[in-house]
Amino acid sequence: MGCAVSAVPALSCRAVVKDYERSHLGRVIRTRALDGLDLEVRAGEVFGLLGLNGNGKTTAMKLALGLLRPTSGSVSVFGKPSGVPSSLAEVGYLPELPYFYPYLSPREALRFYGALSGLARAEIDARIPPLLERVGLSAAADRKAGEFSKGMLQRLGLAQAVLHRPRLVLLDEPVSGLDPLAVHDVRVLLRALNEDGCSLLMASHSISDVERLCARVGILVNGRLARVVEQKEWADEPGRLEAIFVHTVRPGGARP
Amino acid sequence: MNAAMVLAVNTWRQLLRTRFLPVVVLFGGVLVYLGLLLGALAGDVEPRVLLDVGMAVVEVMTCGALAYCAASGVLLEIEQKTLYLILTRPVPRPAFLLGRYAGAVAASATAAAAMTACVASVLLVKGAPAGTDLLLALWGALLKGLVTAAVATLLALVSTSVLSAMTMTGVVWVLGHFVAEIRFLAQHTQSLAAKALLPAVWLLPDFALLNYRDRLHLPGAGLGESLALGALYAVLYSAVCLGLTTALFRRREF
Repeated sequence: MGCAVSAVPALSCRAVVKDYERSHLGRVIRTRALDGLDLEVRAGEVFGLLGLNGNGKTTAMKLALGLLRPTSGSVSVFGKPSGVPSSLAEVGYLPELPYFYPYLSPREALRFYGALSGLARAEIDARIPPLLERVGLSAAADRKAGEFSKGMLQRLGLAQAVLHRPRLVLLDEPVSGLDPLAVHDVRVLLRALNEDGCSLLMASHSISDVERLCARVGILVNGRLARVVEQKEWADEPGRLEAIFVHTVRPGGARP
Repeated sequence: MNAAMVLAVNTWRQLLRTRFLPVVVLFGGVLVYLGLLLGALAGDVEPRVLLDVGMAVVEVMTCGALAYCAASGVLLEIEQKTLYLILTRPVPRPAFLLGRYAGAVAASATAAAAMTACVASVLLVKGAPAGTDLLLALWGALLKGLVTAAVATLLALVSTSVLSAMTMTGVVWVLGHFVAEIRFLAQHTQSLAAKALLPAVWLLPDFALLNYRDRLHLPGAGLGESLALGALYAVLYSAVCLGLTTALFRRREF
């Protein structure tokens, strides 16, 4: 896919606080989703984010994409503020449940998203067949997305995330709900992307996938980065990352 | 192609494919039936009735369809999360709104033109070809649609559901046809409560300015001038609504 590796961090979060606000009977209720998050994803690495539900993984990703704004602190992508068009051009995003217009086929959907990413029509048309082949959707290229299974939608989601050859790909639960073959294919694709120099930030509940793919893993607890684990800490000991995770998220757990 | 244009073309194509095409076909069928029915009931004024009823339906359907498309466009994208894959690309938020708006207006203009062609065809078959009346009614309907869509887009961002946004747009659309009357009543009534409403009346779109066919048959009404003024008014009113919508949408989080 040909991504260039940069010395500038792919993603940088500095002292990020994010509060969600909602009004109820005239009272504003605040919920803190991120509480001083400091996180850096180096250019060219695969970084995993682990954490229990509601501990801020998706919020961190949405902040990197400009879908949310930090209450305080700063988020940058390759040195540019998150959410501005120039930083978004460098990012690909696979949401946990990728939603597509049901009336579009994968080919039409990729043409649409490619055009929105600023690619020329000829370039898009040249990229689509190999990409569909790579995600295993060639045979369904002209079927409507409304007829797709969850696994097929996830494959299409991955295709749209990398179509414009971003330098950073954000993956929110990329293998959730997929069958074993699809999980294998996704893993192979992500590894190939990283070998081409793409940085990946992967939020997942699947510790085994994080273990296989990531160079470093951050564990989020209550909106804070409680611990960053390097691959060498778990590489030689099966089950080690899981033990570290459980110890980190469960107060008073036995130290692994 | 820039992002707004990509979104406009996508919206135009999908609306025509999924919503407007069946509506136009249904309209054509109903109109042919109406033509046969009026042939038996309306006697000498049949062409006139056919034109009035046909173009009134074109106007109501154009504005209704645009109110729905504009109100549901953004809200459904948010609800169904299809918005995520658009706003996480280098697409400025104003371009997203403008693209969706322009696509909806273009699709409904295409459908309105097709429905007007149905009316013209039925009139031609009846031996009473329509000319300026038909074109003026179409132009007025399109300008009203432009304003209605802008109002619906704005109201969708301050509403929680498509139904409430459409209801509010419907209220504005109805009141917008009686602005002069409401203003007159508010100015001449003794009631302070009614007078307090006067500033709010100025915020309503004045759709009577776009009833061009009324002016066609009114001596000394200055049709050319009112065509230009009406178009300018519709464009400016829509631009202000879209400007406010953009300001709200920029602040929104997803």
